[in-house]
Amino acid sequence: MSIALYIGQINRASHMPLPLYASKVPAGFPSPAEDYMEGRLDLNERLIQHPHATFLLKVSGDSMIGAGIMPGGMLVVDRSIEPVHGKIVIAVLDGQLTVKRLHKKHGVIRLMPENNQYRPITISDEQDLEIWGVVTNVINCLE
Amino acid sequence: MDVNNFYVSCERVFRPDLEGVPVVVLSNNDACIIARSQESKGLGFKMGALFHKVLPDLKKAGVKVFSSNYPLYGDMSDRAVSVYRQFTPRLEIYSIDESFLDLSGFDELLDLGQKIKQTTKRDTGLPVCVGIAQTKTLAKIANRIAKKNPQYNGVFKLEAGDAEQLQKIENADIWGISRRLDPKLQELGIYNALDLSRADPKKIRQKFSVVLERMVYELNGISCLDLEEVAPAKKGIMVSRGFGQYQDKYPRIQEAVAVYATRAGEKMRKQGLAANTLTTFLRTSPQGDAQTYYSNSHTVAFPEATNDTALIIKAAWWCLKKIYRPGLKYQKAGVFLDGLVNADCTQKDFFFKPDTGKSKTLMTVLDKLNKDHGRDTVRFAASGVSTDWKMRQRMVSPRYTTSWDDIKTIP
Repeated sequence: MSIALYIGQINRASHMPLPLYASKVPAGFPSPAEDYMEGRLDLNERLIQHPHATFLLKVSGDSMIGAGIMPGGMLVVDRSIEPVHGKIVIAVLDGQLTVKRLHKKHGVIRLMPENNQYRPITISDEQDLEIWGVVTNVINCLE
Repeated sequence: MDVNNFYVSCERVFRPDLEGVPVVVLSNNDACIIARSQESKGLGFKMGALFHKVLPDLKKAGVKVFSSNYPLYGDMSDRAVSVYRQFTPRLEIYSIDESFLDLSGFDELLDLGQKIKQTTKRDTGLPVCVGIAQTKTLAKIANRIAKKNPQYNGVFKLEAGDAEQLQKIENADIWGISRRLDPKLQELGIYNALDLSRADPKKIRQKFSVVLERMVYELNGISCLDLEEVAPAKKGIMVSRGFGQYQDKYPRIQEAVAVYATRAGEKMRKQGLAANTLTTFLRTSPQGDAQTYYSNSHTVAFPEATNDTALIIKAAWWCLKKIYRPGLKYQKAGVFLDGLVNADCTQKDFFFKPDTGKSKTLMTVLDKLNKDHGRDTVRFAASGVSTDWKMRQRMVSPRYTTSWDDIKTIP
């Protein structure tokens, strides 16, 4: 009797289909806009290029406020993008996730904060660094 | 394609600190171990071990324990399949962590295998192994070889007739051959995949079955098992009726929905199907009347495909609760089951789940009684089903990818 208890955690119906012709057209004049109906703008389209490789993460700290990433901001992270020099990345440093700007210069890898309260992290040979994904967008809620 | 230690790997994508740490994942209700990291395997923890029995050992060994988080695993599985689809449109999703890809027409298969493996790791964080061969049976063996031998870097191509490799594969490790069958094969002097591949197919058919005969061909590179691509053509099952008279009482509507759910379950079992998702819908009359037209539906996904009436009723009621608005007179309700799969092909990963056999037997008996003695001779008391929703899942990880409240926070 246990399986059903997981039910309800995935809501497949989260994508609202756009009601293009949902309303009944009265017998009088048809809407002059009818032939020009287009789908409404969908933010997903704008923010997510590769849905299968995109994950959302939240930020609690302020080390990246210079890049517009505020505490509480939500990051759109695309794992399929190549983490080249200058990208803002989610890095795994010694097992811990962190968001920083990636610097690769003259064979030296550094994780750069964008807040002068914090210091850049130069990756030493003993340290274990893996790039988890590239941050493509940030959503900062203003309320 | 096979994701390594799938459930554990899903957990680790969001917990990179657990890389190298022994991890196990428990079944529904935290009953027993259903997934182990390499480290936990090394420590000797067995699949199916009862959690309460091994708990002291797990603690002592510092093993990180998770309850199963099917919303997460289901989503990660979906993502992996999306990666595979970029390489070939022809694929069979065999289970939550295994898929067959048709690579006919491709060259440089080892390179391609590496590319698929690397892309899956990059895009989803999941480590996979790739087994490449002429038939599905050989591909499964190739995958096993890739997994067990690090020198192949996760990708292995097996040729039919590779005596050296086939010899190392014991009977019970061949796809579709049960432990029960193993001693009978040994009596005939068949100890491994190589022996079986050299057996006389006709004799095997006489002694055992057509299924095993096919295995012999498959082991020789002659494909007998087709790629079963997901057939979206298989339509969902819908049971819906208008109410005799408009209904506004919740218990009445509940009863109706339970009846529809029961019918839907019967239909599925008759066709040997199981559903992955369920939708309940409810509406008032669209014709005038002195009230606003209201129509709504809610869909849920089962953690694994099911055709158990008890679960279907639970799910249908759960959805109903989401969409029922008091004070309205309803005209129609319905239950829709979708994501239909062959009932025999589900649950491969859940051998250890205690309920399954029992539920299957119960359903069979129920269907038989109702067939012999008339519909609804025996049915579920539609009461008491709505209680007891919270299951034991004490160590479940957040639903990182399917719940807004559970998004991973980083400092």
